[in-house]
Parts: sequence; structure tokens; C-alpha cells
Amino acid sequence: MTGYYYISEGAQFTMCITELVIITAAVYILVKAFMMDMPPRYKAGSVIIGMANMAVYQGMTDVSVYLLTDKSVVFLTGAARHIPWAAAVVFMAVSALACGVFIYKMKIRELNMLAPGSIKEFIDDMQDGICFCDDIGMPILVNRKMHEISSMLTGEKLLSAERFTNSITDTAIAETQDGSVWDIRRFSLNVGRHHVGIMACDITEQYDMNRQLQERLQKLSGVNERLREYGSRLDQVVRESEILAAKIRVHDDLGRCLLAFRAYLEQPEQQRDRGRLLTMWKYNMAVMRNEAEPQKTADSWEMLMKAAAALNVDIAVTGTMPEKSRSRDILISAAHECLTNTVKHAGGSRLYIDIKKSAGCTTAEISNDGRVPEHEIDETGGLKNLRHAVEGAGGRMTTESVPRFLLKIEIPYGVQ
Amino acid sequence: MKVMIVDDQFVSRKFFEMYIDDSDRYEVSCVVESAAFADAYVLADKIDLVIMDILMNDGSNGLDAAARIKKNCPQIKIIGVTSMPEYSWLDKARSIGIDSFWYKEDPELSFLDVMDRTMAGESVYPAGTPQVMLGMVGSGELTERELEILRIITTGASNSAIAETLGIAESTVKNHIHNILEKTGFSSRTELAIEARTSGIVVNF
Repeated sequence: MTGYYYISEGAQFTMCITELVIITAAVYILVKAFMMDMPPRYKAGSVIIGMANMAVYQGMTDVSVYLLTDKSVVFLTGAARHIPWAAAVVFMAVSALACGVFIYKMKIRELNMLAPGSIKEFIDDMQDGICFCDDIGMPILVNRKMHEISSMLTGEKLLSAERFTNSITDTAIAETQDGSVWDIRRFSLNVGRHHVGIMACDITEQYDMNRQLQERLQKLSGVNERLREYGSRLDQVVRESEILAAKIRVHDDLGRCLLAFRAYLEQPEQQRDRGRLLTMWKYNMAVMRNEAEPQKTADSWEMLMKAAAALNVDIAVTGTMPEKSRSRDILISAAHECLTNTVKHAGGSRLYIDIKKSAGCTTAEISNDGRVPEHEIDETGGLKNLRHAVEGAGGRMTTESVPRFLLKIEIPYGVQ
Repeated sequence: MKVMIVDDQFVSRKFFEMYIDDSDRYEVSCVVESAAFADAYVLADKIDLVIMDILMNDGSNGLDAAARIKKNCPQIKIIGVTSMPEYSWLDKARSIGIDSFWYKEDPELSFLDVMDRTMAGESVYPAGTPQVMLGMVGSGELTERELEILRIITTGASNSAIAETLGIAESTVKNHIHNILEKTGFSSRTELAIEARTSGIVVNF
């Protein structure tokens, strides 16, 4: 086998250059290993490859010096000139392969590592805006979207967290010129020292959906209101249609009466049933008389007076009954309750109702001329319901049994 | 036996008066056009039987009046009468203590027969509420909860108000309404509410 000493100058030159490249690669691997904090084997391996190849390179250069000068033996010449050149090539190939493997693995690791720039790159790609500032509001890290949002809202990029947040509250919904809606929130962060962060989340879609929902709810509320109004009129309509149906039946009965009368006249006298015919006619005449005089719905106060008259109880009112209102309804309920109690418990024949209008409310005192209650009034049934109605209207109710029964109610004006 | 008739319709009052006049067992003691103060009238005379219409034109109702009469005078017999197929009145009438109930359109049961049996101590109630069609479905095919919700819908209440009234979740209310619409074939709750009210299945006092 031919030693390195015996190969051509061109071959020696090529091998030297190759060694330089391998040594450079080993140095690169060593430096990168320290920078990337690689495992010790990378550092040790690069040192070993570097040192070994430096020794081989030294040997090669010594041989070259020997050949170029006075052929005196220098440093490694003696050892190097007899080493087969193929062995040197194999050694260099192995070293190059090892360097290649190290570099490849380091590249892979580097791709998976976060570098300072990668964080900025990542947040710049975010669709939402984010920024971090120090405790005096100077931005440390601001993404592209936050700058855009700041420009649209304040006319300039985010240069100061204080200036930006002074124009919005801690939690704010802001709409930008492009129609986007942002939920902007400020938050605190303690990493070593205090930092302030601002986050702007795109809520355009949710905001639109919420607005549509509000519109639909409003529309539905309008529908419900119309339905409520319709319902209150519908009761009247349904009752009137029942009345009409009943009247139609009666008119049909009138037709039957006429037929019955005709049959009556055609019958022999001894077979005629006058009584039955008279009953039919009486009924129909009474109904038709009622149709000619349209029925008017009686006022509840008038109905109460009529009921009192039927009970032989006289209702003496001083003052003026309120006009058609909830106050009036409550007063009539109170009078109704007292009327039945006057007859049932007190055996009285006169009910006194004293109505006064005082500051802000209508007051009524109700008493009777019957027996004084033997014990405290126990509010059950009607009195209990009355109290519920009075207090529900914001009023007050008191009952006394000594020296006589007295019911006193106060109802504020304007009760609906 | 003395009978008080409480009905806001002249025709109905005359009808009942005719029945009573035709019988020698009963006499009309008084005729009242509103249930509002009917409990006062029973104190005026020794009434044995009250014929009480349920639905009145003036906003009063026979069920409340019957409850007051039963509280003050439990010995008085009461027959509730109506032509409305409202689903809840039979149960309410029973709970109040109304002795008998008669539907004005009932072809099977004679009213005089009902009166006689009631005064004999029997409680005469129809087997069920008359069935009416609500869209594609009969009123008997709706559940009690669905009928409750239907009643509140006719007042124009929102789903959340219905849920609060019944003590159930709003999503449950929505499911029930969806089921009712599917059963009846109506296209909207508005149509449903209107038809429910006009059919008389649900009546709000």
C-alpha cells in the first residue's frame, strides 16, 4: 500500500483541503453544541473529531514541508509519510460522516426549538391582538394585529399602553372602521416584576348574533304584547259569539212555535194542548223582549248595591267612590266582604263607608251597625284575600274590633 | 226547594227558570246576573241549591263564587254549568266542593235529572271534558302539562315567563311548545294561542 508521502501533490492538496473542511465542521459543531446546550456527546464528539483531524492535518502538512524543503524530518513526518493514503481517506470519510450526522441532528433540534424570533413570529400570526407592557406602560411585545387595532381606534400604533387604555375602559367592546367588533381586556401579569397585558379578541360574529337575538326578542315581545291585547278582546268576541249562537237557537224555536201554533189550530178542539203552547210562546216572547232591549253590563258598584238591597242592608257612603280603577275595585271588594260579614256575623242592617282623599292616597273606613265582635278579628278567607290585594297595590289595611268593627284601607293614587 | 240561578246570559237564565217552573219540587228564589256577589245573595234567603254558570261576561267567575258560598254555607248544593270545554274546570270544581257539574250541550243528561240526583246527595259529574279539535288533534290528546302551557301562552307570556310560572326550565317549555305545534299542525304560537282560546279549551279568568 502506498503511503501519503508517495501520492501525487494534487492528491495531497485535495486531502489537506478536505481535512480543513472537516476541522471547520468540527469547530462549528462544538460552538453550536454550546450555543444550543446540546448533550455532552456532541461536545465530546466534536472535540475528538477536531483533535484527531487536526493531528492528521498536521501530519499532512509536515510531509508537504519535508517535500518542499531540505527533506529534514519535522514533527509528524516520520509517522505520516508511511501511513497508507487509503487509511487516511477512510478516516476522513468517517469523520465527515460523523460531522454530517451531528449537524443533521442539530438542525432537527434547532427546527423544534423556540428562538426569540419565533415567539414574535407566532403572535404576529394571531388573529387577535395582544400586547405586553412593563409596569409603566411601555410596550415590550406587541403583535401586528394589536398595532392595526390601535391604529383604527386611536389613529396611531400602540406606543403606550396607558394612552391606549385611557381611551377605553378595562373591559370594553369596540367597533373598528372595518366593521369588526373587539372585546378589549386589560390584565396583570407577574413574571419577575409586574407587567400589564392587553388582549383584543375578535367577537364580530358573536356580537352580530347577539344583536340579531335582541332584535328577535324585541319582535317577539311585540308579538306577545299584541297577543295579550288580542286575548283580552278575544274573550269578549267569544262570549258574543256564544250569545249569538244562543239567540239563533231561540229564533229557531220561534219558528217551531209558529209551526206548533198552526198544528194547534188544525187540531180538533178537544185534542188541543193550550198549556204547552202557551209555555212555548211565553218563553219566546220573553227572549224577544230581551233582544229588543239590549243588555247593558251592570257596573260592579251597582251590582253590590243590588245585592245589599236583596239582603235588606243599606249602604251609606260618604265621600266619592274613585273612578274606574284598581282602587275602585279594591274598595268594592272590601265593601263586599264587609257586607257578607255584617249579615253573617254582626246581624246588622247598615253598612257605613267613609271615603276620603288624603295626600297621595284614597282612604276608606268601613263599619256597620251590627253586634260588636266578641274577639279579635281572625283574617281568613275573604279578609286575607283583601289584605293581599290591598298590600299588592302598595296600600295598607287595618282591622279593629274594639269599640266596634272597623276596616280601614289606604290605597295610593295611580295604582294600576 | 229554593233555587238560586246565577248566569249572565238571559237565554240560559230563562232556560233554567223554565225547567224549575216545570217541576213541582223546586222554586226559583232569586236570579242573579253575575257571580261577583252571588255569595251575598245566598244569605238573603234560605237557598237549597245554586245553579252557577262558570264563565261570566263581567270578569267574575262561578268557580270563585262557588268557593265563597261553600266556605260560608257548606250545606248549600251547587251545580256548576257551562258550555265551554275548558279542560281544568272539572278538577277545579271538584276541589272547591261543587256538588255536580253539567255541560249545557250535553245531550245525554237531563238537567232536571242532575238537579234531583244532586239534591239526593249524589255528585253528578260528566266522565270527562267534551273533546274539541285543536288543529289536527283532539283536546284529549294533549297532556296536562301541554294544556297548562297552552293556557299561559294565550296570555301572551314569553317562554321565560312561562318557565318561571310553572317552575320548569325554559328549554323544557320550548320542547313542549314544539310538541304542541307538531301535534296540532299550527305553524306559529300565535295561531296556536288564538285557536286554543276560540275553541274554549283554555279560558283565563
